Amino acid sequence: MALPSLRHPAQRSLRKQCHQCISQMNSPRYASTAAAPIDELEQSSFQAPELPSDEANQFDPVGKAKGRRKQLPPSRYQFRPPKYYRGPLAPYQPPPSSDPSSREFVPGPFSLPRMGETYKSTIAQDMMTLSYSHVIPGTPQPAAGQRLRTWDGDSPYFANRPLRAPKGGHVLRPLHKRITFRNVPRLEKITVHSMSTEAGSGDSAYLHVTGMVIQAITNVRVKTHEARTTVQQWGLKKGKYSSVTAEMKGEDMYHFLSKCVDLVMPRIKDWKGVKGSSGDETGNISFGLDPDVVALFPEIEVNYDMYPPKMIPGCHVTVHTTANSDKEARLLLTAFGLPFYGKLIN
Amino acid sequence: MSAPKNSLKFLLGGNGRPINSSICRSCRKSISSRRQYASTAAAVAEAPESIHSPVTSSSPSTQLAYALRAGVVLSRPPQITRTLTPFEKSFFLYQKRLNERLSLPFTRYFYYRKGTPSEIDYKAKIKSRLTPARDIGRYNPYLDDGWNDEVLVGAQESEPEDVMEKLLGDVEVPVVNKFQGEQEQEKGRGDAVAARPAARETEADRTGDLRSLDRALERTLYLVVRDGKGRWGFPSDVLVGKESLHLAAERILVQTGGINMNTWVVGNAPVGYHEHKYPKYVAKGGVSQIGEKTFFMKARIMAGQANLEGNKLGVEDFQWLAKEEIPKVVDSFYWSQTRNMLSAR
Amino acid sequence: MHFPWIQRCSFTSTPTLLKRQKGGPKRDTRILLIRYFLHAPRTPRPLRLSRMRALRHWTIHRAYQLHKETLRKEQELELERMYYEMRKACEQLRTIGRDGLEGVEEEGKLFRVAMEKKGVWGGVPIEYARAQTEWPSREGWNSGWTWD
Repeated sequence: MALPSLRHPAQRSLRKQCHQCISQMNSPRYASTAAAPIDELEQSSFQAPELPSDEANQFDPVGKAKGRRKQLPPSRYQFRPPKYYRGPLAPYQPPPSSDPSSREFVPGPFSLPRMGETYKSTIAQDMMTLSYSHVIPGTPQPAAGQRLRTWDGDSPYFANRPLRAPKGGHVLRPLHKRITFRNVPRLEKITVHSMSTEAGSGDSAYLHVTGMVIQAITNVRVKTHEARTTVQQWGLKKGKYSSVTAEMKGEDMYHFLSKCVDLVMPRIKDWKGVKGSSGDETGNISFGLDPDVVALFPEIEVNYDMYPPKMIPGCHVTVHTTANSDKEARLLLTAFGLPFYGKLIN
Repeated sequence: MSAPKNSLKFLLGGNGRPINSSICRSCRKSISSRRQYASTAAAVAEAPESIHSPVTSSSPSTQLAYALRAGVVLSRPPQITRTLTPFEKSFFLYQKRLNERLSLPFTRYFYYRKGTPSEIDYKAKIKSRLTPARDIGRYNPYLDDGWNDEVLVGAQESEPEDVMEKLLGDVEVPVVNKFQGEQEQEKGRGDAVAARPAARETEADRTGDLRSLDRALERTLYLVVRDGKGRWGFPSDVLVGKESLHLAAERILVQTGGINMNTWVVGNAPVGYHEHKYPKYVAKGGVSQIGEKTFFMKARIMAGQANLEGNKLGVEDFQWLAKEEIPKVVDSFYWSQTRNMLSAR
Repeated sequence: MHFPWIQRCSFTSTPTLLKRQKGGPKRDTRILLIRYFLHAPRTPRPLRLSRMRALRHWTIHRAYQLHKETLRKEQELELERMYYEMRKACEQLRTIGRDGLEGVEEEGKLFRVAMEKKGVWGGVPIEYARAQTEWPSREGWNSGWTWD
């Protein structure tokens, strides 16, 4: 294997540095400690000798707790952190969300998702090979020009004005970057969105069923959103809760994608794939799932009877990738097994 | 296709001349023609220094050249996820149990309607399992010793095999059927014994069959062939006519392993390069060859198997090897030039 | 059973007035169940670990972070090695002609063809897009695949 051989020089140099440090520390007083073999520094608890089996068998925390006559005395440390974040100047801060005592603590990964493993072992290197473009050594980096326009004219009001937006729109698109080993496109997150128009008209049952369904298929708690404006045709009323979104990252994201690709999509009738014109030009691709398709998800199917069949919602799925353009994102998604049809745009 | 054109223009620096080369194309042409036809070494000496400058050629009348070859690194991607380390296994179980402590209680009536056989079944199982989750062992965070969520050394709950057995065994256990009057034991849904998945270690692993594609399922396997001279390497051949590397790779795959391999050549650009100088110049087709340069293309196999019958490249044997098995058969110089393009997993 | 560490709150989805009147609107019990599921009244409290347990947790957490970092670095290094190998090959391809030497006819022609991206963005073959599984298939590798 090539990797260990690459790692060796670094380790060796580290060891050398340690040796130097210790020899600098080495005063007559600590001579015995400094004379200890260097290898001790590299030991970790994983290499510790195994417990003798009788000692391991005797270890019984529950039995010990039950056999105790009296309760253990309570800890004298009675501090309880505040429940909520009250700003950076509050005298006591809640613990960070990585702390298990935090209210926001979410237990970590439970598995190695197979889609993620496939990406790491196969797709990433093939994406890099496919999209490789050569730069001749010594070529200067092409300088990114001024992308915002200046205000030309004699008007005195133009002085010190912020630059003008680009022509043809006010959105500054991201610059395209050459794909190297550092920025091979990968999945970033998947957002599932579902709007129930009936919820706006006062019956919250629709919103609750929608939330339940989305929560079941995505495995994350949903967020609810108010309508920002009133739209008569869609039955939207401003300020009423009308839609839910779920945002998945990491493990949940890969599990959702593999459910879509392997269980749900092959069972859709006459399904051609995702439309080739889908995408926002910056590598995020969306597609829609009808209510009868959402009902095909295994989590819904297993107790389909417990959902009111007319209230099962459809949803929009947006796959966010780190690709800069839609064609790269599409290539990535086809490698994950999501086909595209029709004219491919961008 | 406007982007490749633009990028090509960018690469060539506007007027069609490679950016970092010191002399222009027409000069080079004249130099090369002089090199071909001039009989004096002086004319050659005028040429700017090039890496493979054949100044010391023994017979100036013959033209020197490298044999250009295309090679294919045909690989079978990993078929199964990698084996978890003991640390990862126990970490995942630890996190699952923490999650069990922090998640909302299971709403039974949402999943099992009252009075149905599935609910009776569930009640019977939850007594022995204590928790609706099937993959965390016997643990309930809502009981008095719910604090004791860590498992002891040597516990089997974190093993994927154990989880798989629990999940399938859950399907198999007898269901108490209340609707048939007396308590009658009846095997669960469908078959009496749920079909187990195949083992991660296959027959080919056990017998050490290096030609099988069923071996080492969690590794990338590379096709390595032995030519007529007994040397092992990736399949390769001389470029024919004006073919590109991609086309040459497709041709070599068919000429080596037959047409019954479903393969895909990844991209148009080479992934690696191997240069080898002959000990003596070899006269071939009016030129004397200094050595050979092989450019490797990457390819993936999706189905099928190599068949050497009637192959046109003189290949005698083949093996499917993982990365660390290749240096055992190829020579060390070849390995040093090709190892970086292979995947460690 | 009594759970002192579990928060309880009264749960009903029916407004008091409707409850009082007999024969209010008939609701689907499934919706009630879903509401109960979404707003379960028994919510577990945040974890309170003992001192030694918290230390153990911290150690496990750190060890996993380090392990993840090691894996990520290995992955990055491997991609980097592959990239520079490609770069080396393409650079060599750019500077040679048909006879493998610099400065002769058709110099860089193979390179120009290799840099073409024709057919690359169209996608990958559908057979390629097959994700790894935790357990292999019972049929094994499809060795009997034929061209026709």
